Amino acid sequence: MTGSAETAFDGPLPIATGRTVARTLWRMLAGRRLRLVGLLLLFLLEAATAVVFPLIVGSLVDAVAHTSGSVPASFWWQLAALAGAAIAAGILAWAGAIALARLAETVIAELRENYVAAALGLPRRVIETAGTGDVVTRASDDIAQAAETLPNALPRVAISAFTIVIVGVSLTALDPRYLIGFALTLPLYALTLRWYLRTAPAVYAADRAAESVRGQHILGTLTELPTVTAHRLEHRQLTRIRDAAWQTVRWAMRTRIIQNRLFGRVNLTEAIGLFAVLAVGIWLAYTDSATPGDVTAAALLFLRTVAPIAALLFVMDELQSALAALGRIIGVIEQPVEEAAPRSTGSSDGNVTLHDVSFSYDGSTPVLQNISLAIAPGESVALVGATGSGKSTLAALIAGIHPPTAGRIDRSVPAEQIVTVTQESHVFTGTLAENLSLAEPTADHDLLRDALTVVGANQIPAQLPDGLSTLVGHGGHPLTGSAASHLALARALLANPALVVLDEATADADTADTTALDHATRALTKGRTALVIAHRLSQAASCDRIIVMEHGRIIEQGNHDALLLTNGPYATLWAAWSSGTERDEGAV
Amino acid sequence: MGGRGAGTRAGFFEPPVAPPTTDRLRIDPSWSAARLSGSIIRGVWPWIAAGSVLLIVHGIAGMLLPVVIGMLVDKVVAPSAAGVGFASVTGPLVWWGLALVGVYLVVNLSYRFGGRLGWFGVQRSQFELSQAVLSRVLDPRGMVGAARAPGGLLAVATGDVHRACLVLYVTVYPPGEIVGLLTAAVILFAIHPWLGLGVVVALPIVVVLMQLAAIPLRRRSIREQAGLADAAAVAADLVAGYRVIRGINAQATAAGRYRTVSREALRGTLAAQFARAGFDGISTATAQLFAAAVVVAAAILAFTGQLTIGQLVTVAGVAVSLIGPLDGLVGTLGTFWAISQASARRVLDLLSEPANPAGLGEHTGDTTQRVGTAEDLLRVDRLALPDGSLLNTTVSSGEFVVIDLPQAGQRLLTDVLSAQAVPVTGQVLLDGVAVEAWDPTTLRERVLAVPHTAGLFAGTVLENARATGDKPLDEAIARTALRVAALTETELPSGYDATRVGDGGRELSGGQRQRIALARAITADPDLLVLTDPTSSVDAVTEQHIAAALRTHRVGRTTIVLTSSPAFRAVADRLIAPYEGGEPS
Repeated sequence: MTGSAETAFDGPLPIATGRTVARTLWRMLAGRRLRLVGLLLLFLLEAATAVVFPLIVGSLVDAVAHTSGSVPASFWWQLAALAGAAIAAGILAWAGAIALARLAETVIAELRENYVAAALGLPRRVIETAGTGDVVTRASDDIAQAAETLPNALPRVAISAFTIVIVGVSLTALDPRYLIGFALTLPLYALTLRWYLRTAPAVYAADRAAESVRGQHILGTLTELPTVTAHRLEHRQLTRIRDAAWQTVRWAMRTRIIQNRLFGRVNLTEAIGLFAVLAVGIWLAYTDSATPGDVTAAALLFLRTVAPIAALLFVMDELQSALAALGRIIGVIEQPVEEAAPRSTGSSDGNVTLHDVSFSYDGSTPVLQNISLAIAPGESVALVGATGSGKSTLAALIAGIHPPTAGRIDRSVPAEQIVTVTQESHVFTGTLAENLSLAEPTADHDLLRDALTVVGANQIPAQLPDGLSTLVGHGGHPLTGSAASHLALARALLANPALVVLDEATADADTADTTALDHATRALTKGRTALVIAHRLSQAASCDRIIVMEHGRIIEQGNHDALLLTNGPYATLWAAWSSGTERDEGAV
Repeated sequence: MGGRGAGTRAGFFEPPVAPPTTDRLRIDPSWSAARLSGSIIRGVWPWIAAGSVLLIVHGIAGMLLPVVIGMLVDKVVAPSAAGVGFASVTGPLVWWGLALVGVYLVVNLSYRFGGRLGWFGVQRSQFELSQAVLSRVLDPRGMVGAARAPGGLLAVATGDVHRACLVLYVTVYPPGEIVGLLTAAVILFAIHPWLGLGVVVALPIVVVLMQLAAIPLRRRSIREQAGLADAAAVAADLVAGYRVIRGINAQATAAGRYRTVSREALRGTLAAQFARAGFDGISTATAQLFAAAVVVAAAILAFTGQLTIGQLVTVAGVAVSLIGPLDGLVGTLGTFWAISQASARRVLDLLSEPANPAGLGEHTGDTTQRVGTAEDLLRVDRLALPDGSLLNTTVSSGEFVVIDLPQAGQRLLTDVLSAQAVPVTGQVLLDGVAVEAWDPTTLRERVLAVPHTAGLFAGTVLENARATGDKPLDEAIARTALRVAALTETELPSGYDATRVGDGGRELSGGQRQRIALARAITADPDLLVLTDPTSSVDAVTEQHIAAALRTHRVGRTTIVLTSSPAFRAVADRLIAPYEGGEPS
């Protein structure tokens, strides 16, 4: 889009509420809820095995206190319980991890698949106003955040909750008064958690931001290595990366300091709790309500809660971010896909008629005013005009991206028969063949090569190390802007549409291949209705009709020869364009 | 940056604001991986040594905790069963209570600061090793062979460097863990010789068993994770191409393809998780069985009156405390060493890459002598173009020449002129000296052969225009150059000075990027400027303005424009079009 899309809007993409997140997850668990119950049961049992050891040691202490010289019969039961708990803990840890992976990882895979499908299905005008930034961030950061954190955090939440409950129950069984010591730690943990959630996220975010700046500087430098070499920017870029890298060192250390303090506070709480439980135990012992075995069991039981609670605290900040990430992912998934389907008048011959169409992005500034236009099936129309004259907007309206603010557009082309190629040529991470076959999944390599040949780009695979199977895109083999434009044209050709809109589709291509590009454009527009926006006037000249626009209005239209005769704006443009060409003809 | 400014101190051992200026790391690309690991450890030894000493203290203190609890049970709790009054145990209660406080304090501080020092060691060496790798990649002499994918280089400069430095973990944590285990053995020996001996004999066996159980599982887990496609990155890439996908109505195809990627990633993740689950299960069961065995042995001794109940409690506590160091030791020694060696190898492979033969020249010319009068500044003598035809031409000082070549020919000529490729046949001479004989940096100071892709870097538009060489070029010249390139201030969101772009400059349109890159080349003001299709993304009218302004601006300097654009042909002194009118000249 000209002008408007370059502004980065803060996305109006929705964020799901906690309730919507819960409802969506519950729905996704349909048919797996029994498994969820089984999983929680495994965690409960795993937490239960943890209390066996302290209780048995406590009973051993009392058994020792009451026997002298011989091993009592009860000992063999205690031995069996210890060994059984150890083996059970191993089996439960194994089974729990597997069950959790199956459930959580599958749900996360479905979440990211639903997200991609929903994001790609968002109405185009949403993306035209919001920009792709927000949907991309949600795809990368939020999906990664949820995928990394949730499978890790869920068992910690479950196990530490169960451990607290089971230890609480066991302590109550020994003597409810032990709970005083245990209860003392809970507000301390809560305070620690509050401190951590207030301090840590900003530091972690700064750490990630520093890491990302460094990564961008490195990747940016490596991607633009030819420029770095030509302009002798090696030292400058190295210094820049070095400074960014040192910032990551500083933030990594601050992150570590925060974690160290969290450990310090958890450790202090542990000490206070142990003191309290021992104090209660000693008091009970001297009031004859507890045996030494009970006191031992209580102390060891308390110590059992420390590791799971610490593990939980350490992921709480990530868990918080993961829940926010879920809100952003599900916000898009739950977004109703309401694409304004272009009105079809029955037949599919590529006929488009605009009746007195006006358009405005913001409701007040008119971008298009009172445009009436009939494009015949198979006709190729060029839109010519200065930046901001409304040509891209007109093309977007004809392609059905925006509904007109006033007036009416009749189209005899179904939406899936309209193909738009813009200057924005994204090279997808994958092979060259995958990039092409996106438009026609069933195409084999021969068909793809044919399409490249038609658009004059058969040299692209030939120049790559593995031909059509070369990995391109982010981190892959770099493609020139020209090659990317050629790929876009080939893709449009493979899609075989009834109406094709080329909005500066060849702007990034090399002028060295002008003839090839004009040829490619002609090959692509041949036999279908076409709308061409190109600053290369030679492309406009070969269209059936040229429409010249200014300030959202059509100021002149006709074919190339007719417009030259009128000596209007187009004739002036053409004179400027062709002066170099004429001289060149003289030179040869 | 959150609530903490860059100047606030977050805690002890926080690194200084400015990056260190001294190099601690010695590297020789011919070394073996193990030798590089040794050098990494030696490079940051003060932090590593301090860190591991503190962690040794932590390991000992951790084992003393059950001893103190056992003493409290023996001296304070147990007497209650014998009917002793509370008053008579207040002395031991105070002493052992204080001991418990002391032990907790030591555990707390030694772990925090030991870990922190070790982590700084890792960060510090990572910082330097990564710079070393990037310095090699950015060496003006270049690297031999085809251009490498940026992603692969990035992986070595960040991922492999990090993993190579993880070797430090082998020196930071294991000493503390080993000493902790030895302390446990000594404590148990002191309680009863048989317990100590039993643990000393059984412990290595348990460690070896856990290692053996871990090897296949860990190997599988690492492999699965390495082969795991990053599902989030693929999702982001697809969504970033939203307009392209919607333009060709391929959203269903794209979503379907993503499902395949996502399911493959899921299979990989599950396989890795299952492997880890197996390892976790085995190590949990083994460690707990070992602890149970120690307690059972102690209980038998206690039943026969050879141990007090407090000692039994201590043994139980020690047995549980053994698990942590044991787990850590198995994990650290087994994984980190293997991981670090494989990555150190990849780092060394990159560092030892030979230089590009085109960048080996040493001729620096006579810098005091201006080139002004030289008849032929540049002479291209039978240079073989990729399609096999030969290019012959000379360019005199001060000329403005257009050469019309196909893309592959343009690239070859710019590569040769910027010391990145050696001609297969023929010669290219600058001042009568073959370009590959020139020192690459000197050559690039004299000849700026701009690549066609407009590579911008993070910073303002003006900063980008001034970016050539080590120091920013003159600001006024850059402003003039931006005007020559027909980029007006009003066209940018915040003018030349305040419009910021990220690396790649994707915030601006292709035409704007291209004109900034052109302005940068004009600002550099080299003796010979070689431009490749500098206005391909600019509209026809503006292109003509640029061509005319550039022609005027470059008067007295030499300029070659590789293009077929009519605008440049119109203003050129001379057109060299070897492909027009039959055979190349």
